Amino acid sequence: MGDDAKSSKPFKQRKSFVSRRDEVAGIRAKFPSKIPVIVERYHKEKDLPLLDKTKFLVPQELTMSQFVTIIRNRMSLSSTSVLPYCQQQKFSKHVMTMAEVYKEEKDEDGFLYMVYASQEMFGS
Amino acid sequence: MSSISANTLQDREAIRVKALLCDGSEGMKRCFSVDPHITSFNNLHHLLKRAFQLQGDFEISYQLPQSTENGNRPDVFISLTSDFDLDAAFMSSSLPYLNLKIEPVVCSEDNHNDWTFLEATEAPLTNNVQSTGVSSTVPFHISLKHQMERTFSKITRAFSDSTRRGPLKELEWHCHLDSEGRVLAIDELWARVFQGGGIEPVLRKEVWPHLLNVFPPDLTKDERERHLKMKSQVYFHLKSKWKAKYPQEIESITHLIMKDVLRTDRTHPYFAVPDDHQHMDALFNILTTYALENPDVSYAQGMSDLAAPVLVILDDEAVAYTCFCALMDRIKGHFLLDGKAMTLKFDHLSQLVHRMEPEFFKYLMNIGADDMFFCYRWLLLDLKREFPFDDAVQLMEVIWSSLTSSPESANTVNGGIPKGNSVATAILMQHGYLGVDYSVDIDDDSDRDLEDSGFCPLTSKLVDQETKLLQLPGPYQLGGGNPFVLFMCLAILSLHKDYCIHKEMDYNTLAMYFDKLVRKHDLTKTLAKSRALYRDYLGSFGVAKDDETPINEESNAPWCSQEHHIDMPLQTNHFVEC
Repeated sequence: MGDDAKSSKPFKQRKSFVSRRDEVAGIRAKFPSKIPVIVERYHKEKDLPLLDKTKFLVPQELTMSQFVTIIRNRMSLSSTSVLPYCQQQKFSKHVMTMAEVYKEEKDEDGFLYMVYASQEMFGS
Repeated sequence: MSSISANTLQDREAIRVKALLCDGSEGMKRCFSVDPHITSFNNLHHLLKRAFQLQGDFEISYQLPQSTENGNRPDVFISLTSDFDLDAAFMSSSLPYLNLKIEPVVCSEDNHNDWTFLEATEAPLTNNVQSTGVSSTVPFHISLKHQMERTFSKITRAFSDSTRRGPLKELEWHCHLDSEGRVLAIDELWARVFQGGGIEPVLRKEVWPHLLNVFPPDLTKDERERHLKMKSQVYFHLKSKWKAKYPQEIESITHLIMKDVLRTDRTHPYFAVPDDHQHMDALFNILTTYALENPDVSYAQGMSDLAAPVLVILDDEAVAYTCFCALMDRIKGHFLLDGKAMTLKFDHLSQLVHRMEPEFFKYLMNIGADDMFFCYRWLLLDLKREFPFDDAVQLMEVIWSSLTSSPESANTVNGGIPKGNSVATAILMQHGYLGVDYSVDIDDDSDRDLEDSGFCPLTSKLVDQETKLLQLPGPYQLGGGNPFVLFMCLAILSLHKDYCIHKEMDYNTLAMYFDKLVRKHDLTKTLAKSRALYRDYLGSFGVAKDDETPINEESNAPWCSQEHHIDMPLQTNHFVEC
């Protein structure tokens, strides 16, 4: 799957709606307490490295803030500000649990999409 | 063939659909019609999902038409997975019905091998935010609770290291709103405002009513708008009431107000207008309405100084009135004739200087200024007039965001206590006060103890006995629930003390010296200094400092040094415990 992640096309464009939807349905049925999250680099972001994984199954009781910290650790960017936000331009809410964020922000296909970028990308 | 089908389809405005659910049971049926020109595959999918109340995923297939030549051909179903398929289904199979078969999908076993599983144990623990993959022996829910309770602010910090300095930004504000505009984790927000030294100017209009506690908790954006509208209507009603009176009836008070309005912040562009400009009218109306509606407070000089920035920021007379009332709820004690609130502040400031700047305090005693009366204007207006207008606005934000949530009973003890943000204990929390049980802290007895011992004004006799130094009141009592403003005063004094001592100023010269510094103090410098002093003060109440930024050398807590032999006061012991 490393190839997938490294390719420039976003996950959404690599797979059809139906196959994404089916995938979510399958994984949700198997792991009802895990949230399927797609984490991708913001398309304008040039400085931060790409993650070697795109698809994450996240315990639903995790808070956004913990999730972000894990992602940040995986990028070995301990102190840099990385601010994932949801695709719908609503900003992430770090005190909410993943389950709550999922409920509000999930895509039609059932994935929760997030992008990451350095703080500067979002301007002030 | 296809062109014929297309033509017939164009003429048709509705396709009748018969759908059959094949989920192993007897088979539910639904019939409905769709417009083939506007129905997409997604629409159809939604429709079916709702029609059969399906939870999981399902497959759709459509029946090919029966062959006219051979009536006994078995039913053939073709799977329908896209808009393209749907077009084909409409064209080829929709007469007289489009027959659909719906089959719920049982998920296949092994399509999750490219998933990365995150484990809860990978979530960092509080004290180890940077670590990866901590496998903790603490059960997750406990560590989570632990984290939530102990370090609201650390979470913020982990998020926004680079934005901690500098005012609250729009992005951060929007992070704290849910989809309907409710404000989330407001205490964290105020801690951020306090640390960053205010908020971005563009946000002020929106955030100030929150800072001033105008709204009941948990309102959505729409509900807040309605709330403000309702308040505004009340204001217009109150205003029309006194406008209908004879001017002579209320002349004594309107005369006083007008005099002050005409000289309040006139250098600011908002008020650099002719005397009969609507901005001046608005300020006058706000103050008059407040004075007549609150006869116990009425009007006193200085109130125009507080109302002016509120009007400038909110730029709406009625909303500004609502916010001004909220502000006055906190600060009106300063203007009451009984003077209790001011006496308390003088006392506390005096104690603070005694403790933090003992040398300077001795000097003040020698010139008879240890009553701190020369700081009257500072304390009366929360230092609003000591800084240039824009800085003063920023300082107001910092002070409001720092307010400790004042225990209700403190109101009765001290009178006219500023009502804190219900949540603004955040500043204390991040210094480790989170576990404090308010009911213990505000216990009437402990307050009485404070009055008996800690609140009495210092006399020279007591100062001479350095071994029996008085205790500073705790953070919930100091300054009547608004401790930070005292540290701002202290910071100003401590920045000027050397000059004052060097010049050997007497009481009058000293008072004049500070009087002349009106609107001339440096906010950045003063804020930095006062934050360091405040941190030290909180530290002296037994708060662990391991997670704090290093302490300024120059501000090492002098009241903790050996020579003073300070015993920790009993009433603060529960701070130590947490």
